[in-house]
Amino acid sequence: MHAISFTALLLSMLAAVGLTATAGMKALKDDFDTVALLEKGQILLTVVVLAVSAVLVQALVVRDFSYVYVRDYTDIFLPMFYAVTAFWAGQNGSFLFWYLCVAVMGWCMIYTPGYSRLDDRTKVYFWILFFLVEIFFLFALTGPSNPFMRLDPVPADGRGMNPLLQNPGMIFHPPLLFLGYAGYTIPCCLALASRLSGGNREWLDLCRNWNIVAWIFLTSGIVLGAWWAYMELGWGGYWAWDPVENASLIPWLVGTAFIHTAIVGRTRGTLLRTNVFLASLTFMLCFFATFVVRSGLIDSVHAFGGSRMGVPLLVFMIAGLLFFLYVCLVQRTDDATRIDDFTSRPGMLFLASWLFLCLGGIVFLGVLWPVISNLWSANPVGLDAGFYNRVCLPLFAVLALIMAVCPWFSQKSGISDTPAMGLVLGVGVGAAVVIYALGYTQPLALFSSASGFMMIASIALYFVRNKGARSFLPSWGAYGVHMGVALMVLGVAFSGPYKVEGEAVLTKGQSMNVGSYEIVFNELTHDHGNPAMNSHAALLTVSRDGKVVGDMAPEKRQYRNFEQSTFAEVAVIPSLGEEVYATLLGFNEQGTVSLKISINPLVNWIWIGGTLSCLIAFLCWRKIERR
Amino acid sequence: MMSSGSILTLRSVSHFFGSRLIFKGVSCELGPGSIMLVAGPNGAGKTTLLKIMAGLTPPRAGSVERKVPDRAMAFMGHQTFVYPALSALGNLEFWNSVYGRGLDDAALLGLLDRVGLKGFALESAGTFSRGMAQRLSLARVLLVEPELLFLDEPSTGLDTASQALLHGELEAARRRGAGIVWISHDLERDLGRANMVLGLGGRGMSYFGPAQGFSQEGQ
Amino acid sequence: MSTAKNQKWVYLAAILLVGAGVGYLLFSGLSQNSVYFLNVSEALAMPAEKLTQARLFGTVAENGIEHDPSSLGVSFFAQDSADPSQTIRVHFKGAVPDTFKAGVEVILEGSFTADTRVFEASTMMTKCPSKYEKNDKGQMRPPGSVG
Repeated sequence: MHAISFTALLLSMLAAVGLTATAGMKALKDDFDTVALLEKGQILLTVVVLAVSAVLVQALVVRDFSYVYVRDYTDIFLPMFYAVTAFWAGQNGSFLFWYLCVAVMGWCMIYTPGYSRLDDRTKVYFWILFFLVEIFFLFALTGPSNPFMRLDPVPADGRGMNPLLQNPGMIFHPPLLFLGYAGYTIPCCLALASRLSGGNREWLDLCRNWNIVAWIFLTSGIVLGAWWAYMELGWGGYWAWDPVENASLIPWLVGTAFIHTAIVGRTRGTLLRTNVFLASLTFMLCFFATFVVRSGLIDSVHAFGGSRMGVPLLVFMIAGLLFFLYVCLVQRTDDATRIDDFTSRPGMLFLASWLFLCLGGIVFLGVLWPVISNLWSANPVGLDAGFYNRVCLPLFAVLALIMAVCPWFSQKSGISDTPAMGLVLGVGVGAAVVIYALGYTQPLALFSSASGFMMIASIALYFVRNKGARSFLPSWGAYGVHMGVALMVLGVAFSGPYKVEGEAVLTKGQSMNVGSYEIVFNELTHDHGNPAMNSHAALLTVSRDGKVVGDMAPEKRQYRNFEQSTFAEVAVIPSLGEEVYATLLGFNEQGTVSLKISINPLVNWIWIGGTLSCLIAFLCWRKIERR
Repeated sequence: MMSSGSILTLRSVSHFFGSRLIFKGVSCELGPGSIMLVAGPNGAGKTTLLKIMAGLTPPRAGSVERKVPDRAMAFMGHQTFVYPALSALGNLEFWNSVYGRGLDDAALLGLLDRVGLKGFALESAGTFSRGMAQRLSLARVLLVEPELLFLDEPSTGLDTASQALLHGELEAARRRGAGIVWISHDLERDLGRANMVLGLGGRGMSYFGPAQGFSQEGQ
Repeated sequence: MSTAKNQKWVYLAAILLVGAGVGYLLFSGLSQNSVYFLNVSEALAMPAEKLTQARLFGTVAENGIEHDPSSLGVSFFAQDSADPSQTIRVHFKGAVPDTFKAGVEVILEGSFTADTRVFEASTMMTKCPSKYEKNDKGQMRPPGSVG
C-alpha cells in the first residue's frame, strides 16, 4: 500500500498540473469554459487524498511498522486514541493533514452558495490558484515530506510517541492550526481571482464565512497551545514568545486585521486593494509560520532542526509573495477613494487594523531579528520575552481601549451616543481607581484591566440599548467574540505582573511559603503499577491563613520508551481567582524534593475567554443567497 | 470482625491528593496493648495513612474512629516539633502546659534523664543534632503517657543506644496498655516486636493480620 | 473637498502618533532586551564592555561541576562545542534539569559579571544528548532518520 498511495499522490499531482496548464492556456485565449473540468478535478484530488489518508490511519491503528512514519511516532503500548492522532505528530503526516484540509475545503467550496454567485472567469482563476497551492503540497508529499516511506525489514516495535504529546491539548493543537491555515487558502485565492477577473467587490461577502471559520480554528489552536504550555510544561507560564509560538501568532494578527478591514470594505466600499493584500498576506504567513518551525533558520529550544522542506517552502513563499504583490499593485481596478472621518466606526476599525498589523510586523521583526542583526553584527542578536512584553502589551491594551469606545461612534462621523460613551469611560476610570486601591498599582496592569472592564461594560450596554443588535444573530457573534477577548485581556493583565513564584528544597514534613499560601510537603509516593511508565508524586497540602485550601500531587514520570527524560506532571488547585500551581522539579533517594510553586491570579479567565470567543464566533455566519 | 475493645478502627478508608489516588479500601483495627506495624514499599503512602489515623487529615472516603481523647494521643513524625528558640527543659515545660499534664520541673528533668538529655536541659534546642532533637521529641511523647501512639520511622537519625532506648520505652508503653501504630523502614528488625501488620501497596491494603503471618515481599 | 482633506491629515496624524509610540516602544525594547547569541569562544573573544546580557551556547565540561546541596543551582565550566579548550565558568541559580550532566549541550541565559570569565545564568536549557537530533515537536531520533 505504500507504493500505491505514493503513486496515487503522484498521479494526482500530474493531473493537477495538467488541468492547471490547460485552464491557464485557455484563459489566456479568453476561454473560460473549463469550470466543470476544474471542479471535477478538485473532486478527484479530494477523493485521492481521502483514500491515502485512510491508508495512513489504518496503518497507525494496526501499528503497521513497515511504515517509517508509524514506526517513528507509535509503539505497541500507545493507547489507540494517540495512535490515530499520531497522523499529525510528525512533519510528513502534518503536511498530509494540512493538504487534506485544503482539499476537502475546496471540495466543499463547490457546493456553497457563495461559489455559485461567482462568474466563470473568477471561478477559473480561483481554481488555477487553488490548484497551484495543492500542487505545492503534492510536491512536498511525494518528495521531501513523504509519509508513505517503507521500512524493510519491518521492526517489531516503534519508537513511541513523545509523552509531551500524549495530552488532549497537544493532540488538538496542531490540527486546529492546520485547519486555520487551510481555511485561509480560500479567501486568498478568491481575493486574487476576483482582482484578476476585473475587480468585483463581491468576494468579500462571499468568503466572509470562510474567513470566520479559519479565524476560529487558528485562534483555538493558539489558545489551546498556550493552555497546553501552561498545564504540561511546568514552568507556570503560557506564552514564552518563543519563535515557534510567535510563528503562528503572526498570521493570526494579520488575519484579525483583515477581518476588521473587511468590515470597512463591505460597509463602506473602500480599502479594496488593502483587503486583497491582507487576505493574501495572511495566507502566505501561514507558510512562513511553518517555515520558521521547520527550516532550522531560527534557533530555539523548541526548534525542530533543519528539514528538507526549508528550501521548497522558501521558494513557494517568495513566488507567492511576488505574485500577489503583482496582482495587488499592478492590476487595475475601480477603487473607491472615499475616506471616512477618523472619529467614526470605520475610522476606529481602520486604526485597530493598523495596530494589529503593527503588532504583526513587530513579532515578525522579532522572530527574524537574529537573522537581520547578522547584517551588522558579527554575532546574532536575539530578543528575549521581555522585548515582546514591553513592546506588544501596551499596544494590546490600546486595542482593548479602542474596542471599548468603538461602538459609540457613528458610521459616518462623530460620537453617536455621548451618554453611553461617558458611562463607559466612567466605568474605566472607576475600575482603575478600585484596582489601584486594592493594591495593584502597576501602570500597564491598571490600564489594561481598566480597558478590559470598559470592554465588558461597553458590550453589555450596547446590547441593552440596542434592540437591533439583540435581534440580529451575527451581532451576538461579533460582540460575543469581543466579550471573550475582554476576559482574556483581564486574565493576561493580572496573571502576568502579579504572579508570585517560589522554589524550595523540602524534606518530609517541611513547608514553604509562597505569597499568602503555606505548602506542606507530606511525603513522596512512587507508583510502578503502570507498564508504560513509573510515576513519582510529591503529596502537598496547601493552606491559607491557617485554613486548608486543598491538596495537590505534582508528579515526575518516566516513560518506557523515553528513559532519558523525566516528564513533569503539573498539579493545580484551580480557581477563578488565584490558582495554585505546583511542579515537582526533582527528588533524591532520601525522599527530599525540590518544588516550584506559583500563584497565578485570574489565569483561568484566559481559557474561558478564549473558548467563549471561538465558540460564539460561529454565530457570525451569515446566510448568502444562492444565485 | 470489628471487636468492641479496639481503640482505633478504620473502615474502608480511601484517600486522594488532588486527583491522584494514594490508596483505597483500607480497613483495620487496633486494640489496647498492641503494636501495629505499617509496612509497604517505599513511597506507598504510609505517612499519609498514619496522618489519617491520627486525625491530622480527614480521609476522602471511609471512616476513622478513635476511642481515645486527643490529650491522650501522641504523634512522632519526621518533624520533631521542637522549638529551637527554647531550651530542652523549656520545650517540655511548654508541652506540659499544652497537654495539661501538671508535672513539675523535677519530673520533667527526670524525663530528660530517661532520654539521656539531662545534661543539655538548659541548652537551646536549636543547637541540637537530629538525633538529640529526636530524643527530645521522644521525651515529649513520654510526657504525654499516651494511650494511642503514632510513630513515623522514629529510629531515623538515632544512634544504636538511642534506638535501644526508644524500643524499650515503646515496649513499656505497650505493657501499660497503649496502642501503637508504627511505620518502620527496617522490617527485619522490627517485625518481631509487632503484634499486627498492615501492609500497604499497589494503591490499597495488601495485608492486615498477625505479624507472624506476614511475609515481606520484595520491594 | 476640504472635509476629505482634513480627514487625510487626521489620519496621517493618527498614524504618525501610533508610529511614534510604536517606535519608542521598539527602541526601548531593542536597547534593553537585546540578547547576544554567543558560543563560548565568541563570548571570550568579545571585549568586556560589550558583554551584558547574552544567550550562551556550550557544552558541560567533565571537571569542575559543583552542586550546592542546600539550595538550587549548580556551578560548572561551559566549554565551546567546537574547541573544548575554551571554557567559561558558569554559576546557575535555579532548578537543575534532570538531563544535566557532563557532555550535554546547554543554552544559558543570563549576564556576565565584571569579570567576563564568569557567567551568571538565570535560565538553563539542555539540548538532547548528541546521539539523537531533535526533530518535530522535540522528539529524539538518530541523525539521518526520516520524518
